[in-house]
Amino acid sequence: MKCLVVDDSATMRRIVVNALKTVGYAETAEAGNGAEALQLVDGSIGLIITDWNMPVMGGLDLVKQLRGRPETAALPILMVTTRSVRDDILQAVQAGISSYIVKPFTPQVLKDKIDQMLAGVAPAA
Amino acid sequence: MIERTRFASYLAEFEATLTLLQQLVSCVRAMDGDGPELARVLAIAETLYAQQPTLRQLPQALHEAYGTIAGALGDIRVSRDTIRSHALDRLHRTHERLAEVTSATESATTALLDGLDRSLARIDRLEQVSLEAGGGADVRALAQELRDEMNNLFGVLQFQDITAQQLGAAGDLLSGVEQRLQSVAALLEPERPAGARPSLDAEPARQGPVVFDERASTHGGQARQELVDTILAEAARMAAAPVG
Repeated sequence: MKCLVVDDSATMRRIVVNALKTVGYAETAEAGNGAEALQLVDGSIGLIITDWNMPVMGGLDLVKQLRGRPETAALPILMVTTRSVRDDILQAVQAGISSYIVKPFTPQVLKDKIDQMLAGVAPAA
Repeated sequence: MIERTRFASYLAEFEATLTLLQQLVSCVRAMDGDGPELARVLAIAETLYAQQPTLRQLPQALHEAYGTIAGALGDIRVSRDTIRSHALDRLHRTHERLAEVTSATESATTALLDGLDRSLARIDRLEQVSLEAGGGADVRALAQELRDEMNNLFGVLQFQDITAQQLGAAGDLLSGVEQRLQSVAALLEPERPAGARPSLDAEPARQGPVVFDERASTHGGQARQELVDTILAEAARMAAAPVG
């Protein structure tokens, strides 16, 4: 399964890609913002990991766009961000995220969230 | 209630004073060096003083007011120049230094990531060579321990993204202060067109979308994740609850 990592920070993308590799997901693609990610989403992408604050198109708008398309309405989407206040989390849930990780995270947390999502847990909203 | 006759008397005096003032102004305008106009001005002034004794204090009062206003204008000019030359300049340099710090930490982090990638490749190579030389389970175990250490270091480098956001928030704040100070300096500009008044209340214009989280922090990651998990579970329960 190919994972699409979306973050405007190149170093953060490398860190997430490395974490994915350690937990068994070696096939990845990368995008620097939501607009780039939309261009890359196709049938080969099985999971999207996205940051929130990005230029051009942020993570929240990306999630809303993906949930609005029939072919990506059920795609597992994991938000990985520094935002951790209640309103932000609820906003992300309403947008349609499948799960949410706060930075800084450990590979184990990443693995647990991916396992939960791929086990068929529906989006919280 | 003032009597009608006394009121009429006040009006007549006021009208006479205004007429004399008008003549005084006309004489002053017509003056071109000393001459008969100056004597006429002085005569009119003496007539005015006789009718309104308190007018004698007016030149002194005007002179003192001029001195005060000139002093205030000088202070305003100094404040405006100080804002421009010191405060705005220092803010701009601080902004540049923050950008420099962000760039430097990003470069250093990239170099560390490159080093970690090379180290992981060398661990793989070392493991392979050791196994070919007859090494067993302990070689694999040691190699995996080393990989775990390297991967932990990958995780630690998340600090760079978080500090970049913190610096972005600080830079954004400085930009806002800089814009407001520029508005203050513009208010003190003597050539400012009448009626043009920069607003100090309006939110400074931001260029582009917000690309940082002003609350980003490296502290309390586990506690914050636990809070997130609680909220997600709560939201999932509410979504699954039957309607009605």
